Amino acid sequence: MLFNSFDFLFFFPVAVVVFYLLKHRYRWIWLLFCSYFFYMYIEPMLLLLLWTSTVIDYYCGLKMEQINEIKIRRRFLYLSIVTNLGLLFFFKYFVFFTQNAVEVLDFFGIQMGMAANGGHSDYVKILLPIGISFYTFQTMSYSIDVYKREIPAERHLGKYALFVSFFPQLVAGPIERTKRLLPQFSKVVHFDVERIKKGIIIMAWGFFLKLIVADRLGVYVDDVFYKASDYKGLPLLLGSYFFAFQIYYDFSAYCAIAIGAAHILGYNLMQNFNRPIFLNSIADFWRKWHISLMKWFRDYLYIPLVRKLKFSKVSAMLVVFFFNGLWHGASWTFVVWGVLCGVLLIVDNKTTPMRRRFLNSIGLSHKMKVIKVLNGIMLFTMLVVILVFFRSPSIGQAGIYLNNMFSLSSSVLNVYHDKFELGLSLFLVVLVQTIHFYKGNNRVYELIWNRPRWLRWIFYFLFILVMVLFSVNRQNNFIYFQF
Amino acid sequence: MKALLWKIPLLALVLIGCYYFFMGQLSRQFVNDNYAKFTHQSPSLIIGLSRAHNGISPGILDSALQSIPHEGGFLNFAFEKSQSPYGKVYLEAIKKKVPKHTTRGIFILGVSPASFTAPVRFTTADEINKNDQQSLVGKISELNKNPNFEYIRKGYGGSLYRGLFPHNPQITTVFHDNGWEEFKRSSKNYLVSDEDVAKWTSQTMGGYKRVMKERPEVVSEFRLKNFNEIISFLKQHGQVFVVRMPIDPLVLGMETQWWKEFNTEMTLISAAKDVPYFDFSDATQYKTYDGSHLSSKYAKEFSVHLAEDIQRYYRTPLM
Repeated sequence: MLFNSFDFLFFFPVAVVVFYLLKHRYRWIWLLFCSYFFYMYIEPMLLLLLWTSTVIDYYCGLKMEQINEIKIRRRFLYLSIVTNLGLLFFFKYFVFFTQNAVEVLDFFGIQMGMAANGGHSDYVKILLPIGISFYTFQTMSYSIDVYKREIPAERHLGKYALFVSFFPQLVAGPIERTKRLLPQFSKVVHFDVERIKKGIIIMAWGFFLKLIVADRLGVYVDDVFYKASDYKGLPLLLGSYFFAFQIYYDFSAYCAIAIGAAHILGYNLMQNFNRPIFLNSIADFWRKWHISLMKWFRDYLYIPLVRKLKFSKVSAMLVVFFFNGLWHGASWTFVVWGVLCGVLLIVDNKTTPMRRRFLNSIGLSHKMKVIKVLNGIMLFTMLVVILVFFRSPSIGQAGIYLNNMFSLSSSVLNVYHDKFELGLSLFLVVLVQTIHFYKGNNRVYELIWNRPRWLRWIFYFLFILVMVLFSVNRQNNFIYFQF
Repeated sequence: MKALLWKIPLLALVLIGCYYFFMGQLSRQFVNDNYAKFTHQSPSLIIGLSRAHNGISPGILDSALQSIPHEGGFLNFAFEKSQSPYGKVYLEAIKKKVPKHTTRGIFILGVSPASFTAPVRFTTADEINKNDQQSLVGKISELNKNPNFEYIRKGYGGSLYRGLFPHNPQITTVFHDNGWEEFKRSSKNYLVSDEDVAKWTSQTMGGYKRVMKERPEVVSEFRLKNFNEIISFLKQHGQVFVVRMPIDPLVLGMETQWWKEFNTEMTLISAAKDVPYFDFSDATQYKTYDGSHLSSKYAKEFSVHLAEDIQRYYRTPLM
């Protein structure tokens, strides 16, 4: 089910009302039912995968806690990881790796049966289960933490199943840690009007970001990326900037709706963004962008690579960003994007002292506000350029896009053919960034919180009017649903 | 808690009220290129893909066919490729568009290889049909309502403020109430040059090649079967004409290379169904603006030509 669908508008109030009508001990059953219904709404068969992951990790968790012998505990950890990565590999990457293997073999003159048929055998039809990258990472973190004895294994299968499938964050995160989320399902949640109001405001902000800002930018982005060969120069540069903001607002909108929905139900989800556009360095950007995933990579990949496998920090970073790219999708474009992000991070790290010395030599300091702003713009622009690989359907198309983007001649800037829409898009980006600058990603509700009643009501009606008039009526999926 | 219980329904009501009010406002203005196709039934239809959508003017047919005994008021119910290839979804939509009592309608079925293909990854009729259900024609169940709020919700794709400040952002296209999208090569501030046409034609061909390489399609028995069913259905309501639209010789060359027996296939189907087949694919006097679609001047001329052939058929049906 999509958050931005009419179905959700009916589903969610029912979920909340029944939740608060039930006694505490039955609530987990209701939430689990709602979560499975929410997931089944997309494709009922996908529930089997969710169950497989849930049951195996639950079992492995219990065994790892009961058994003290490290070798046997490790076997259960491997079982959990192999199952989760196996599911992820089969459903997300099998076609990609098979097609690449067929092409490599074809290059060496070895014809595979599938290739001989035009490469369209049944294997192509594997359906990508929505949210698989998110919930497999969440359950893997549970198994690893239990193995390391950082958390106890969960004995209640129902509550563990709810931890894996909790509907606000099931399909696109944030990737929660067991320590944070699982204990919350055992705490008694009281009906708290103030908390519910706050949750509604956070959700409303998410809908604003998605329906008015991200989807509006998407119109421009879709056009320039689809017809990249028709444009030159500025429209393509603006298109890649817009895409950066589109994906940021789209994903942070999803997270805001997820956090707000969980808040209404009495649960706290982690923040996934912390003003990433206001960056001091590339490393700073990655500390603020998709925080739950980057923390996952830090804790479960980067640190083991450096500490246990003795990788150098540079090579560990490259490995992390290679997998960060691959996590986003089974395509070379994501891999190239990931690796380039890693390279940029390393180059930024390594050249920082040199750049500071240069600034000092011409009488400037990296601590000056104007230098900080210019540095942030420069680094963000580099990320924006690299992001072209993320959005393009193939490496070749990304090449065409970048080649045309750096072309001197420029075609029409406004691909909307509509000055008002372009002006509105730019205004909205500036507006949201200003709000984020002052309130961060997590305190936007303060804009109307504790204001006089008359002001709040004006704001509510104005918000409704703006949402109705300026929403882009496209019913687009959230971008991160595909990952 | 009590306050929350009345505030939320109140705000929800205001939201729903505003939404429908502004949808109503928009429906009184220009909505988008396809809206007019979803507001009323019509006893005479132009069916097919974007070549028919751009290339046949219902207004010209109406005025040119006055001497023929038929139920006029043509509607161009053709869409772009992804929206209306021949299939069950399109058949069901057509059934809803034709008034039940119609017996003397005229139905022009535009055909091209693309009308009968489906992505190669779909190997069963069910898969093709499921995909078709995602199209505009498949998503919208209410096809003859004015104002059509379902269309605005599912098929509009813009913002409702346009209902307050009506404007048409397109430079060279004119959208008619009878469903025709007229493409003008020149307008107040814009001129499509011959270089533009050459470039767009080359892009069309490049696009076809790319699609065939990256997302290959094959001729679908499912589509051919449903095409036959559409003809059978429409024959109950009047006279059917199968028409292949004029296109650029380079594009025609590509299509012929890809499906050599296309004309033979269409001739056989038309003969079996006892309906005329007009092949204009090599009528090079009608120029396209992108290799595939007729520009305004030629669409009008072609519509006159088509009307003359229809009149001739009515005079001598065995031609």
